[in-house]
Amino acid sequence: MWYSSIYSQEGCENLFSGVVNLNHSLQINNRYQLKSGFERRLPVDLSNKAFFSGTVVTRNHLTIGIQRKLSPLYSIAAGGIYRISEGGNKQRLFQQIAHVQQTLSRFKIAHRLRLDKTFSNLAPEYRIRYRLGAELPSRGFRVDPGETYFALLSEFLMKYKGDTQIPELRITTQLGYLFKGGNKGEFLFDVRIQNPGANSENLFLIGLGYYFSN
Amino acid sequence: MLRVVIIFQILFFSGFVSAQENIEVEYPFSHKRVPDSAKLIVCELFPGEKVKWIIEHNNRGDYLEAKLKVNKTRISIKFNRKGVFEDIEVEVSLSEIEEMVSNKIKSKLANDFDRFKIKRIQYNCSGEQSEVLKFYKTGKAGLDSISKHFEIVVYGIEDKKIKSYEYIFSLNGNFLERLVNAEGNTDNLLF
Repeated sequence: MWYSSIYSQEGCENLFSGVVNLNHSLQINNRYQLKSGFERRLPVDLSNKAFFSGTVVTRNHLTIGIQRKLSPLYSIAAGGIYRISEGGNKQRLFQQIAHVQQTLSRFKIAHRLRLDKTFSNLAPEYRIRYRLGAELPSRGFRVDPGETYFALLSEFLMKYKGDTQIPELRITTQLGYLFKGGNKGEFLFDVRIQNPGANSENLFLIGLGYYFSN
Repeated sequence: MLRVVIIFQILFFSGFVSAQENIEVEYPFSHKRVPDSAKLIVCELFPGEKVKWIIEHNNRGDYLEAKLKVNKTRISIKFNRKGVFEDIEVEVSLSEIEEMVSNKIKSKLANDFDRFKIKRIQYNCSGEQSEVLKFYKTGKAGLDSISKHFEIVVYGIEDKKIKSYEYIFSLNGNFLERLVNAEGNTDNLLF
């Protein structure tokens, strides 16, 4: 994927970046899947006085996790992320519970509650995250092979580091295509608002993502 | 950048196709393009009700389907593309089925799965159009000319595999057929 981010106006920072990500799912057995992913942030400097104030540093994420299916609707997962960045490498552990349901209308609705802990040279950071997502097929009542889809995800995060708490809001839109084998490719636009309010830091990401499995 | 594009091209056109799955594609269809014969049947059975028309594409072919909700009950009437009646399906709950039959169905499912959950039951009625419609309206018809069965969507765990299935049972609760419903990739929503 590619991304973009923004900064500018009084007290607000708007950063822009590109991003690419590649995600793989390996079926270990009927209940367990090994998830792995790679994400690269690509600095795209669109800074100007009107809106954008800069971009981000290049960074790569490697993710690996294991998912256990509890039922056709519920799953749990746990794993780790390693981030290689000019600003310093970080490690993160996460665990999550998720629920996905095809509604009787046209939407597929997904809930995800994730807890994670980030390790670096500084004090560890804890985050609690809730994400609500909806996927809408371009036609019909569910996304079928050979069909495009649109998804909207909104996520609320609360970060705890030492004595400080910082909220963050993320809104992601995806325009994707489901291939015959069940693989998905998508364009995405992601807005991340850290510490919403007068002094927020806003990151705008534009990118490409691909999800494949075997 | 070119490398990225090439890698994505390779990935986009690679696929892992699984067999024997029940894949249905449905998409909306304008009522203006629906044959009059199909509209007439729906209007006769459900006058004044709001109808949503769709095309259903599955392994057996393309069908035209009228979907409506009457008194909170979901009903769908299937036609071929020329508007010839195929069948009518009415959603029912397990408690509405005769106890002996529902026990037989549950017994079969309990036998097939370690654990299961019934997600949807449809009462399906097909055969000669006039007799089916008469049966639907009056509850009486020539029994030789119509075929009735239950279509049931079940989530089940079998040999530690959790999947969604479509079962077909006769009205007596005898097992007729089972299909595996295709699973969707939800990683974009969860990871």
